[in-house]
Amino acid sequence: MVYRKTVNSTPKVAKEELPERLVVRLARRMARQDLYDSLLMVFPPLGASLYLLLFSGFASRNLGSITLAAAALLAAGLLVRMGVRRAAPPRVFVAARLLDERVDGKERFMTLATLGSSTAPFFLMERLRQEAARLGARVDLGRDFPYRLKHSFLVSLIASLIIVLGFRLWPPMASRGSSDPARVRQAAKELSRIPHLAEWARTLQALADRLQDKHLSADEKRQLVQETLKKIENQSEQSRQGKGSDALGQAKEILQGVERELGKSQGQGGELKTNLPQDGKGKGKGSGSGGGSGDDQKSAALSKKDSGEAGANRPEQGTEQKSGEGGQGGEKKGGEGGKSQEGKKELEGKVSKEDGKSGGKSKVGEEIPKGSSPEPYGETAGAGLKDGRFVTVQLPEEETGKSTGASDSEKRREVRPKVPLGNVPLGRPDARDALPERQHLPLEYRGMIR
Amino acid sequence: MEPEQFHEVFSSIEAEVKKVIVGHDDVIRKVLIAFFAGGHVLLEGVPGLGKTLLVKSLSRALGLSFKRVQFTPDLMPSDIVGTQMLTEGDGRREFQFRKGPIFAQVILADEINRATPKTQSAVLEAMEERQVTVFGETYGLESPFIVLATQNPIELEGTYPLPEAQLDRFLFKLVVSSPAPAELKEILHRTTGTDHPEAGQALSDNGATVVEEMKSLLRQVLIAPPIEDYVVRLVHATQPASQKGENSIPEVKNFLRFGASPRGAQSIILGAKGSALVNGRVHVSYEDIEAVLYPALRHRLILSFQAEAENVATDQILAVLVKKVPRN
Repeated sequence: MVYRKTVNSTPKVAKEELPERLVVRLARRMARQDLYDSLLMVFPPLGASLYLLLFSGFASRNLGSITLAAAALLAAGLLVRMGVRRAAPPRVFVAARLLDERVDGKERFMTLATLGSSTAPFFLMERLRQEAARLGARVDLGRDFPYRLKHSFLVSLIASLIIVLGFRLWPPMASRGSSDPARVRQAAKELSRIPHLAEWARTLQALADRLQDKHLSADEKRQLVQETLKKIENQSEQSRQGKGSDALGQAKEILQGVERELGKSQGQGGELKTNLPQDGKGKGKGSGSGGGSGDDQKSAALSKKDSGEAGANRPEQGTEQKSGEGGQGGEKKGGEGGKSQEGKKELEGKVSKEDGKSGGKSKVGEEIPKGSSPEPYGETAGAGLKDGRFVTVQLPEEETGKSTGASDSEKRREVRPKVPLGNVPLGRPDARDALPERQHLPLEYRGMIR
Repeated sequence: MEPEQFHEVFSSIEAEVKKVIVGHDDVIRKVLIAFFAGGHVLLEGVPGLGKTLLVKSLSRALGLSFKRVQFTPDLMPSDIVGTQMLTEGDGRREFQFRKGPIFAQVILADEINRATPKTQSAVLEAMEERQVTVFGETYGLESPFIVLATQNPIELEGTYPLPEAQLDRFLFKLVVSSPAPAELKEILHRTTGTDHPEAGQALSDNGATVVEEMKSLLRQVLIAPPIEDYVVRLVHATQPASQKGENSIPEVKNFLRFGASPRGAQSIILGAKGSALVNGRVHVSYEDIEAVLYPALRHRLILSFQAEAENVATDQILAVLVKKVPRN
């Protein structure tokens, strides 16, 4: 039965198709394949962009901009693709050429596709059509012109994956995905789920709000973060085995990350440019770095406004400052010291009496007179001065060293101020939670005011 | 005429010529293509390669009238086109035009570069206009008409190289090369024995009509616009002035003084159409273009001094063009 059926079903003789129609069919097929190519080429970067936008966008709750950006990306992709297609030769001609190549048609299909039959002798056209039809019968479009993934798609996919993975795996990039306040808010949300840590959640929420305050400088933000971090550290030490220690640990990590970020951004512009001699003993010598010793920190913070941005634009100055033995070590050590001390100072709202002994020791030119701490400046000096953001201290006239035969660098090293000096940042008096601040007294006025 | 008929007649003529000529298949084919395309051919080769025999055999196979003119420095134009001669008949004297050898259908202008330019130019009008003017009177030439000129590339002393204008009137310039050892052996067999094979007449008595039909069919052969564009690009690329910008071809810029004329493009297309028919097709392919590109353009490119100093041939420049000019 089966045998008979097989015998009876003789294969149909392939009906010869008009070659022009075959060319048009192939052209349509190519158009479809082009469309697939376009979509496949555009989708991976689009997906990656959407992912990145969502990753960073949800954090900043800016769905409108995400949608807009995604639409713009899609439109740009489609426009590029349309441009490429316009630049390509007419598709019928290309299809005819492909058919010729496939069946060794020696430009039969191309001649038929491009030559107007009205101008050509009919009998020759007919003959050519017959020849092409015989050749075309050998062509199976599905078999001979299958859709194949283009190299461009693979490149696009791999590049998109690399970008997404890089974003996920590379911590600085990943952390850049969401803003600092958003991360702190996230931590607050986590803490709010644990009842006995609700108070901490509120603290973190308040901190996130403060971090968004544009009026606060990075230094102030950092101090706030450090303050909260310290509190959380204390709390987590107390409840090490208790419930919510994990959540607290996470919050701590987040705050540490935020603090690092802020420190980094501060360090990028924080260079103190001074002509004072730098003859420290290798510790705390880099007074211009973001985290210097206690004293250095103060002077760095004040000088940041004056020379910080300029320092950022001229990074080579920082390296010049650091040159010397133990410059980096001093910077690092000073940073640690400065960190802990400043947080403490801000928390207690009074001027630290320590002079950065735990941090990098800084010997600036002449010895800073030791003894009792300076008097509170604001109260004695009146409101006029306290209202100012900074106190700018005119540097006293310098006395230069003997210049006989000394080189320029040596001369510079010999420059000494006549009196010690200090510049101290003042807090904003109009800040909401401004603590009663006590400011350092500029050294040169100490004697006069006292 | 049907394409098959063309192919058949062409093959039979080719076969007759090949009875006499050993080797040179490509030269024979190109000469025949030029003949059916209505062009003239310049054959270049050292003496003794069978150029004259080739032309003689061809005329015999075609069954057309044949005349040979041996060009020498003292050859006069009247020796080619003919002259008025005083004749006496019925008691009165009158001038009568005596036709020269140019009035045959197949002309062999042997060593054309040995005649003076004045005589060479006498052939010009005949080649292009298919007519001659003597003493103000114009005489038409028989059709079909083909001039097959030969020149020796090595004996240049006492020769008058053909001017560019005259060279341009030849559809093809074919280089007749020395035979391969096997071909030489066959030549010896055929020519040193007692039997001397001769080409028979391939066309019947109405050969001229058949030839005209074949010529007409050749011009109807289909050619796709992209292929025409390719020819245009090729010919345009031979112009040194066109070589500007990133896609310039340094060989053309450095080695050519002048490129091919529009007549060069016409020669390529006509030759390609003939080649297509010979290969059993009714349409031109890129293959046909490249097959006739060298004979159609090699005598139309004027080499620069640098090219001559460096012994660069036009064929080398054409090979570069084929490589560098894109098909699409």
